[in-house]
Amino acid sequence: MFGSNAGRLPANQRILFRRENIGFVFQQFNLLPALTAAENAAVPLIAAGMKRTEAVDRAKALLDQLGLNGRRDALPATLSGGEQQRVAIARALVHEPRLVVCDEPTAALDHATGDAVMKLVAANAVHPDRAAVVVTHDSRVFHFADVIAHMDDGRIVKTERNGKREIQS
Amino acid sequence: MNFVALRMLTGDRAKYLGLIFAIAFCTFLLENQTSIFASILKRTGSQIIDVTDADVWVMDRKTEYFEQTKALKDTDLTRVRGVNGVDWAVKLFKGYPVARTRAGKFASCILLGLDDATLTGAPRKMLLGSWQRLREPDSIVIDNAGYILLFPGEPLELDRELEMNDHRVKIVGISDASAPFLSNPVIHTRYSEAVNFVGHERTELSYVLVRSQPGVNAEEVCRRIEAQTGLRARTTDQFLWDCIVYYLKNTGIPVNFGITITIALIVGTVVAGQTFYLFTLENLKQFGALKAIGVTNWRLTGMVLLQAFAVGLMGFGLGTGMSAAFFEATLRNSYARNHSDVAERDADRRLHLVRCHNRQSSEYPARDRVRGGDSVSRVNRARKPIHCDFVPRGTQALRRWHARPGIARCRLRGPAGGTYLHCWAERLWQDHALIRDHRVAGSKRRRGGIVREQRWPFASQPADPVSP
Repeated sequence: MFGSNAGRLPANQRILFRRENIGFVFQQFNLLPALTAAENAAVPLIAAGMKRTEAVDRAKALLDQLGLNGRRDALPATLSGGEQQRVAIARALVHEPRLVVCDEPTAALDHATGDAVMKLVAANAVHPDRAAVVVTHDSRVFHFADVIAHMDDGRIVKTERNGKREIQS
Repeated sequence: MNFVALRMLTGDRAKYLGLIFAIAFCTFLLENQTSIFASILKRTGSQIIDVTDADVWVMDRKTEYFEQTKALKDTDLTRVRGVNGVDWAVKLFKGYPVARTRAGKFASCILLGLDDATLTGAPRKMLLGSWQRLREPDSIVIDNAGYILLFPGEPLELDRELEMNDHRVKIVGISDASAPFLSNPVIHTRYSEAVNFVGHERTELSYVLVRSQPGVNAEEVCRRIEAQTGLRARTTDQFLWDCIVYYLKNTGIPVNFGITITIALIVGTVVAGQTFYLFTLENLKQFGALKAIGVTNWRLTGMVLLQAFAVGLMGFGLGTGMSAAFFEATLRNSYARNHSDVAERDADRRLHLVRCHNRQSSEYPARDRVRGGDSVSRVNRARKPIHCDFVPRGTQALRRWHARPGIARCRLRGPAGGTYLHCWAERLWQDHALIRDHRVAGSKRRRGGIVREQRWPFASQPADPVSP
């Protein structure tokens, strides 16, 4: 992955690799309840050693892009599910990773909110130099994908591109 | 990430406060018990510590602790004096007479008979009167706690009488002697008087107090005395530790306190540890998210340790504060309980000291004027501040006392002149005060801490009386 064999890296190197190259969006958001939305989004930058104020400023700018400009200083407990997931997306994108991994990002959301979140992922996470991998059981979001890989018992059984028939079985 | 760790810690107020209070109460219990334990053990040798003039104690060969004495022969004193390295040696008598007041109240006392010529071993911390007056016939100095035991609820007053072994004795001073192990009154008198107050025996010399010559090690003097006289000689520190070790070995004190302290330690560790463990366990998902984001294991460990250190520090600090407050409150209460209104003059009429508290306030009319000798004071017996005037000698002019229960405020002129300081006196002694806080006149800022413990010489005549 990105020129390295991530599976063979030592544990510490693997953590650094993850920090630099991968952003995570979790099913249950996993925001830190004691931190504000902006602080939560800034955590990857702070973990990378950036100054707290600078990191929070960058996170606030990203939250504005994601439509959370009025909720930047709100605690996660006061945010709706969709807002929390948007904060989680901001946290996954703030450090400009090359890969965004989303684990069931719409599982805890209703249809409309899930749809809005996936639109955000599609619009912000996917760049020419960045890919987004979404793991989901939610067939309603399949149409956002460029490539769909079907998995069964941990193995890819078929791969589709833009809804067309399989590339590889 | 430190701020993330601390915010995670303080985010859940209930758990955070629960952790702090668990640690605080355990700390309080541990410190409380260990302090009382240390204090009790120190009491076993308090009469030894109070003797500051001598550095070697000579006693019977089999003496193990202070209370256990077998009288020496009078000739032993001269034998000790003959040992090389002994600067001087004086005798000390210790007995347990029963002292009785006119009202019939009595108590078994620790009577210390001091060398008639030098009064070596006399109490140095005097609340009232002076130990020099022990040279008067049938005179004693009693400790404050003993006075209160024998004259409960009565003001500290000199020249009161006690009866000991059919002898009428006069209290010429009230000392602040260290409390003995059994809380008996501690009475100091001259050796020749003490043997009369107890009743004569064939031999009466309890201890020989020795001062080693300058440049000669006290332990070396002890060795020489033991070699030459066959008596037991211990330095002050050694004898103090002998007493402590004796009580540790032969009483249930260490076991009882040890059990309490151990249980407190175990319960405290378990409760605090369990609470913190649950706290960390509940945050495990968040730590997992942080790890996925790219926080290293060392950083996560550091975050948990920081959280533990923070609650530990705050809990320990709060617990220590609670312990300090507890002892401060109990000491203050006992001070307030034990000290009634006093207006007294010392023997040479140079001092006038007023101390007040509110317990007996209703018994006296407000601003009762007490006049006596050559000093004047106004004593406010009501629940209002006392005003009385002193005119000290020297450049530090103490202009006015403004005393309250347990605390006294005064205004004094600095040595340079012109500057007035407002001082809050923690304790008042016969001729000096312990100042805790002070403030320059005109400034609102109080400067905390003990700034001085100074002897203020008080003069005999008031210069410009200040109306209360």
